[in-house]
Amino acid sequence: MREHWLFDKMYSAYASRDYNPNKNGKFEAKDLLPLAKENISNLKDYNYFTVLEDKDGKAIKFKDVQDIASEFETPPPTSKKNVVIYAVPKGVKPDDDKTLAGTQQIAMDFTVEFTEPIDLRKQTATYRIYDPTYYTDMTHYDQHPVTFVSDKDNKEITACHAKVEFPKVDQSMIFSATALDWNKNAPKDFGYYFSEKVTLSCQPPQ
Amino acid sequence: MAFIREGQHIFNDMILSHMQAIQQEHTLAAYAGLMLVGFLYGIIHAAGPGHGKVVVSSYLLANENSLKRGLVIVALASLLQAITAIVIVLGFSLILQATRGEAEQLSGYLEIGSYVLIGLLGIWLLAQGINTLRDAFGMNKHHHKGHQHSGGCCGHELTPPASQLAGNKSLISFAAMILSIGIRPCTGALLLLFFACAFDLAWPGVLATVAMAVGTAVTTGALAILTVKSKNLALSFVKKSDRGMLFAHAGLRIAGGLFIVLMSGLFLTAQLGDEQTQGQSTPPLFKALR
Repeated sequence: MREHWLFDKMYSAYASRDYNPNKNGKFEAKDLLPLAKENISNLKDYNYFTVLEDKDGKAIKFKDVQDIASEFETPPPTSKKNVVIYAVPKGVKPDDDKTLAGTQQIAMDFTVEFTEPIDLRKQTATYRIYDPTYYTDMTHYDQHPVTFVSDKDNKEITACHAKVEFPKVDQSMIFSATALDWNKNAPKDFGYYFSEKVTLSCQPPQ
Repeated sequence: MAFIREGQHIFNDMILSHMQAIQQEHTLAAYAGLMLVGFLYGIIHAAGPGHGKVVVSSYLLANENSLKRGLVIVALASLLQAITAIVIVLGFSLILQATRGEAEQLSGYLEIGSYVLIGLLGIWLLAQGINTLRDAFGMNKHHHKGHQHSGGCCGHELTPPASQLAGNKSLISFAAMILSIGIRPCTGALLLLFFACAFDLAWPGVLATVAMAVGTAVTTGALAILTVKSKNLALSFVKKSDRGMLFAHAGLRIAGGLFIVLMSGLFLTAQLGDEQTQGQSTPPLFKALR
């Protein structure tokens, strides 16, 4: 599974100011990959914010992430969320000296490879991508949140489909969330209750 | 739920687009827009944790009948919270080149200081209440002369309700009230200022922060008005005798004092518990940026 995260303007602005390993005062396209790699290594303890389960709710394990990439991206106009996710990268080759311009934001891509393949024709699987510390809000793109691609010819598999379900949050959770200031630690795995659940299937829809 | 989170998104977006507008052109309209957003953000933000709403209203309930003074407390506390945030972000981060993490840590310590002060204020209020209670029972009459008190805070003269609370002691409690709330920086202002710094717009950020303080004062002020009005209404029913009034005031002060002490204790333990996990509390996606 390949994840594409688009960071919001605020994060992009922070990163382009505060992440500056070569001390030239500028955040350039060549700084994108080191930042993405550092982020990925910091996310390791958090399972890369990714939780996969088979239809029985058993965790699907995956290896360390691969093929990390990062680029500047102009977000689709409909999207105003913090982090948006879609499954296939754009594969833009960044121009090394370019800096963040205009409406552009930082995007990051990586692949999680399952230790065991799952056959979506035989069973469904679900995943959630969320920040367990409830600091970052992560939602899917409104349009085409998930794309299924054949690893042989890179063509889209139209028989498969994904259902993104918005969380139903109960009132007491909302209350705890409202009472939580941004500089306070959230209860353990608090983000789970606010995460979108995506069901993947290659079975014909009922 | 959706509303609150969407609301935060909308404010983030509004603040962001106004900052970008200022970045592009330094027009009066762009500044005015940012300040307006700051003001609105303040009104909403003050409904969240912090800002001393509970403490101010308990204090007003227990010890203050003058609405004007209550509003002054609220306004100055809001302003001081904004100033603290400005000093932390601009002074500490920009001038001393401290990282955002260090600035956040400093604000954590100030928060602890704030809760300690609030606790002391609660104890003082409690002492006032006990003293008023003694008055109500007529127990203080014989102790008046030659009785020295080392603490200096819990004097033994009669503390009748309201009218005589305008002395030095009440001035100290007045200042302590403002200080105890105000030294805890407003977290919304911190966020706004960090954001402004990321855009190299420190001064517009300061303006927006001040506008935001006005907004938070509006919300907490409304609560203060409600508190004092309803208290005075309630007390108008016991105005039958001086003694009944003394009992009522003693009760309010003791209950208010106990409540404030309890609250500050709760917040303090929560904050100290949080402090121990400071190392883990940096959100994973922000570790690379420190």
